[in-house]
Amino acid sequence: MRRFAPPLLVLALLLVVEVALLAPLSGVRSSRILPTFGAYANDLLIEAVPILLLALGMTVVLISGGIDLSVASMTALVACVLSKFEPGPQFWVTAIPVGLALGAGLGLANGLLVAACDVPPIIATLGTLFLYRGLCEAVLKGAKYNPFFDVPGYSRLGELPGALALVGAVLILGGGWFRASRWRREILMIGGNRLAARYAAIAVGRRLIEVYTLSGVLAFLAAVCFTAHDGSASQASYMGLELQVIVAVVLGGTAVTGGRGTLSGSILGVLLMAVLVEGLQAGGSNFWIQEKMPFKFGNLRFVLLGSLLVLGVWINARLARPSERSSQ
Amino acid sequence: MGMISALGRKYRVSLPLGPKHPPAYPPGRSGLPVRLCAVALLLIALAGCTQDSPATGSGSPHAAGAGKPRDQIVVAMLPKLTNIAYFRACQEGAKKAAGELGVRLIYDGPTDPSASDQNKFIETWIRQGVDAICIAPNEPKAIKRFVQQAKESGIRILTWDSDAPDSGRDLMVNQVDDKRLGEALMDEIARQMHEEGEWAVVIASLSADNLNTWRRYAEARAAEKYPKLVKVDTVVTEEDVDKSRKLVETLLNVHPNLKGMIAFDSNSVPGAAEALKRTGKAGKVALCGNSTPKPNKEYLKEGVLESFYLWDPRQLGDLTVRLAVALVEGKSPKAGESMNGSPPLTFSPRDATTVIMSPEPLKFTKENIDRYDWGF
Repeated sequence: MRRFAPPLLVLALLLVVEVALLAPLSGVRSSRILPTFGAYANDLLIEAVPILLLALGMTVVLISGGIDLSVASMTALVACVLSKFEPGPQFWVTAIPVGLALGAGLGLANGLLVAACDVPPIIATLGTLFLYRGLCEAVLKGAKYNPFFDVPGYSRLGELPGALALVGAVLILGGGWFRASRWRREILMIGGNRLAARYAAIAVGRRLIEVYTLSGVLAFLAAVCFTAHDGSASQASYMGLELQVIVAVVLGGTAVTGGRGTLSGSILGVLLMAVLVEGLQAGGSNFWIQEKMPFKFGNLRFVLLGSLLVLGVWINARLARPSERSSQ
Repeated sequence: MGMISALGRKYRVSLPLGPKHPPAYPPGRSGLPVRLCAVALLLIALAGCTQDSPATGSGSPHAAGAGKPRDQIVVAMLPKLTNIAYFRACQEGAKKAAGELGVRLIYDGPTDPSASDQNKFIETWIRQGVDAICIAPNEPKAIKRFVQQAKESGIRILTWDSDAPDSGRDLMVNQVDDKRLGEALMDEIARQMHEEGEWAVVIASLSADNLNTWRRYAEARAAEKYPKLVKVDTVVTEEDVDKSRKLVETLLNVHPNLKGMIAFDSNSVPGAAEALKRTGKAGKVALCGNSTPKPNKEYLKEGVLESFYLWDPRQLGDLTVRLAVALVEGKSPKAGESMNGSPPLTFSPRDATTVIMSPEPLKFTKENIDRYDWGF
């Protein structure tokens, strides 16, 4: 992980451009820049935090040469199970540990499929994408339970300080350890060349199981953040979110082929994405745009997400060091 | 990319899009960020020029709207979802009312009936500083925090189509008297079933307040008046005609003795009717519900469906905008009075902050369907 490598600099610049373009649509005014920008950043970061948590897990999975398509389904399943618990102070000692164990268990199941049963990650997690989503329906049976706003202190995690504290703890403790760890280098090596990693006496299967379990645990944290903010969960929650997470991570310079990637890049990728999504939504209620555009502005969402992904990957490929480029 | 640059190296040609080589790391690289910087500055300058265009213009956004000229008032309306005929019809009515009153209207919402997507719209509108937000909540409990945030910013909150009773909203615009509609549906299906046999509920969601209030009134009516009716199942269709058809087909297989169904939302009725038609159970299983005329016209004429209920959704959009503007202007709506050109208001006998648009729902049958050519 190079500190402030040029690709990251370009991503940061892209983010500045994006904010400058889209923030005015969301109610940021030059005359009252501080309060309006504060409100904008507040909402934006709250939206971004759970996606960021998922993106951190996804980064590690992609570095290991795999992919986890089931993150959104895992998050939804954990959220659905959490929503079945009675609200009240005991929620913290019953629901939360169960949710954590469930998240880890779902991730572990993915890991076992990939490492022990040798199913290709894209197929294994595509299978669990449907499996876990189906379990959501089985858990809720079409009903909705919304205990979250009634759990004392829970909605704090849906406000900025709580959410930032959570993601900050993950980043500083987890990310700090990750950066300097032997574990990270082993994952990089597995992603770069699995066979070589095995010859270098790295416990490949075990590392892979750990990687997918980590993704499950982060999905649990994301589920907590989402439900603390929205106050509800349904069997259709977060559908399609896995694609957004993958776009953000790839945008951040992580190679889908494995062996390369940084957490800081993913953070920037998530922010780029969050700004875009929020801007498109705000554009839908902008009169000037409504009058000039022949179609609904929000419909551009996937067009722009796709363009952003291709642009990001192109910039990354262009700016990657020659040594890294040749390894692609 | 790697292959192309390798070719380039071999034949000493430089492709305009390919990476510069060989190493060229510091000098070749610095160009792009610097150019992007320049573009960024340019765009920031541009953004500075256009930023008075968003929603409320440059006027102080959170001022109480009482003294505002009409063309400065912004009403935002949030349907449960945007892309179904029923809510497009509501939009049509709302647009017309906004045009007549000279206020500005934002009508936008999620493409799926999702609570968290609705919350995002409310957050955005609070920041943009609109004057009133009219919400048709998918998840009544989930909007509470956002309603409170909006009220702190001086925004008037109405609910329409579906209520969020404990959220602290200012006013609810209800299309019908919930009790009467629920009971009318039950009475109608009981009549068609000759008051005995198994029946089932087909409904878009188990949390939307309006649908489930009707469902509860219908079930209460069944318990009270029709002891020989047995409710055997509830099918949740998520506002989707196709999903509704598939689920009802399964339902008909699982319960071969089923005699009747009530479909509580505009997509469940045509879905259930299509299922009856395809499984050949038309006429054997009774169906009634709430839906829009166009998708059900053929089913009525073919006899798959005997009758269904609705109100004019355009009128609902229209009334909601008129009442929202009245609240922004500081008026308080009273029973029997007209607000900004609305018909005289009726309030719910059970809640003093709920306006009822049409106390008696329209009943569509084979005989009268041709008179309602609404285009949806």
